Amino acid sequence: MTSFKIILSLLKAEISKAWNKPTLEFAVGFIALISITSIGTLVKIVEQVNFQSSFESMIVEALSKNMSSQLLPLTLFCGILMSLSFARDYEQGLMQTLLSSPISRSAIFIVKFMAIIVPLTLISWGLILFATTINFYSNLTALITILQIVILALPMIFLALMFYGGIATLISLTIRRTIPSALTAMLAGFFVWYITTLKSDMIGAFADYLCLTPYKAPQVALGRTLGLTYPPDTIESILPGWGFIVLTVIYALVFFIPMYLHFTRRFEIRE
Amino acid sequence: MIIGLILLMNTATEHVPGDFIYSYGEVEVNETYCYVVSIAPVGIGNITIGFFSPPESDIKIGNTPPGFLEPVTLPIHVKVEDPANQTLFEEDIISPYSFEVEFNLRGQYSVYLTNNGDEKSPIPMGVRFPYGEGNPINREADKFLLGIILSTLGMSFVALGLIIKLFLKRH
Amino acid sequence: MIGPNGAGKTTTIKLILGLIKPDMGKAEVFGFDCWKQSLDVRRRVGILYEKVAFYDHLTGLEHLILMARLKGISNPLEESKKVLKLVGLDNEAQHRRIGGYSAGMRQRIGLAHALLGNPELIILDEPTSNLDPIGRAQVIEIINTLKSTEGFSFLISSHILPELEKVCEHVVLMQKGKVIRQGSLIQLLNSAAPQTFIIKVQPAEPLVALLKTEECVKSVSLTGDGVLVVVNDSAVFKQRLPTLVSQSNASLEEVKATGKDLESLFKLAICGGQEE
Repeated sequence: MTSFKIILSLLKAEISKAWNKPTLEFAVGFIALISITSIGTLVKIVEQVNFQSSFESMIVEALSKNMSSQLLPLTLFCGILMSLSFARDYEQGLMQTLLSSPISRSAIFIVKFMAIIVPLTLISWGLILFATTINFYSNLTALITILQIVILALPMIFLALMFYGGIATLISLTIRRTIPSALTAMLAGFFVWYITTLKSDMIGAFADYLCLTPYKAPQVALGRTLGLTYPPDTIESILPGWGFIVLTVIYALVFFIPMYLHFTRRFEIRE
Repeated sequence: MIIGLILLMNTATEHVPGDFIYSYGEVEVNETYCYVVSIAPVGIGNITIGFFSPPESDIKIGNTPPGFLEPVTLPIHVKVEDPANQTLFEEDIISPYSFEVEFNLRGQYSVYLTNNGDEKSPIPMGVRFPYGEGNPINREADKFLLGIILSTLGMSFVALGLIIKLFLKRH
Repeated sequence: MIGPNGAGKTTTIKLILGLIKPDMGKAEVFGFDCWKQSLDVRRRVGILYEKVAFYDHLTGLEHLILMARLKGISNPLEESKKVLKLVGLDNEAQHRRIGGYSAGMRQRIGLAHALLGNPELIILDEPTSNLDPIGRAQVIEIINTLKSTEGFSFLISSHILPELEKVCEHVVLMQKGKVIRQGSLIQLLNSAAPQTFIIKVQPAEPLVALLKTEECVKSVSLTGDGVLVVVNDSAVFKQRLPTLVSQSNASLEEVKATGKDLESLFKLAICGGQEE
């Protein structure tokens, strides 16, 4: 078993490699731009008796909108960074060096995967929190309400990114070339987003089921958890909230587990 | 620096929407209803009492359902408090009535409306801002300030870093 | 470990380190199965690949400290400084980012990485192939010093045979995935020479045909340097050669008995087509 301290050292090195200048700055800037601009100026009139629930629904709405607008760029970032982590290391030989070190393959895979997913989740979530707080903060009570709501987005973003990370890992370890893998992973992310934009006049009754796609499921899971209401007789409102959470977890693991098994048991460096 | 610049850019172009109307059913005689305006510090705006929709001058014919245009005529006692519970406006008015309020704090402004008339009546309330793109008066003052602080601090750190690097290289 | 391109040298190294699963059979090092117990093998082996790759954003020292940690070394800083001294990089370069290193410095850092934690075996895959002549000489000198003073054991795969000859004691010659010669260097060199000749002649083909019919000739092959002839009896061959050249109507430019070196052994074994 590789000790926790060793894993932490490797994680630190992998994070500093993957998020080296100007990747972090670019990611923060791009996601901040989307986060800050997706929330409009706060002007809302409500009755005093309903104030707390209205205030909460304003935050939920802003959070949902923010997460929805962030997901596409996040998937693209995830695709590029995973390719840089797996395919580029394979191409340049660092993967060979790591796999020849006395550290388990499980540790290498999980560290490389998490070195992309965890910072990306934290950047996304941190910027959602920042944008929501600067928009709705007025006093400590408001801040606590904001935190209580926004904290729920953290696991959802993480699980959503696990899915795209899994696809990108599959692509990177199959193609094993940096640029083609990055482009393919971006295309895959874009495709998953694109199919959710299709309307019923193009795909008929299938459009009703698009909320079950890996792109929409985490958003609906978050929305249902936060009490967002969806039109009656739609899958979003018929399926229980936990159903969407289970679906999101399944999506998160559907590529991750096979890729983990492949990397730890079958992956070879032949070139 | 990046976040500061984005905030600056955002608050420089962002502007408040033109008009918000809210109406709560009907208010009994001598009863007080309270509306809460959650708002950013966007400067001067108008609180309108008794209008169901924007004043006629702003309405394009055909855009608003007929019958919606009729203003409510009613004697009302109005009190407006800012988020720090300071009274900004307190008067007896006859609706429809509009008055200026300066929104300088982010948070909840309370508007208390007491029906001083003879019969129960709906009392619609709205907040109006001048139409137009990027009215600098109506930008979010606190975000703008935060943007300036963050970008100035960021730029200072970058400049300091560059100077130190240059100095270290030379020596 | 020597052999032509594609002989399987690097593949063998990858098999040893568990980077490749054997299609059939199994590989064992120190009694451990190289695929199933790869971690146990990797704990005992240090490696320098031909394509050296590092965390380029780290400094030389930082990279070695990280690698020392991955190897489970309890005092990574001291150990890293020790190996940096062994490879002659204990100067200001250790505090610079590896991304800015020259090929020679990268090779030294790679060697230092392989030396971390006093491994029982250090594998060097083409350790000098990317270096200029001075860099090569330096790396060979370091290897020699480490071998003699520190007692490290090396398995070196290389093409640059004259340099390899300076450091190796035991040779394995591979071709097409098979070992075709192996033994101590002295023993192999003695068996190879001086029964080998390289003849420069124009045209070569008629002479090759004639040589193939001679009894004293063991094997003949046409190489880039000329006709490579392995003989059973060099005295008889020297006597017969002028006759054969005149019979083939060729003009003789040079006859050279090959020396006792690895290069000759290599040419003999690979081009001579003899297999054990």
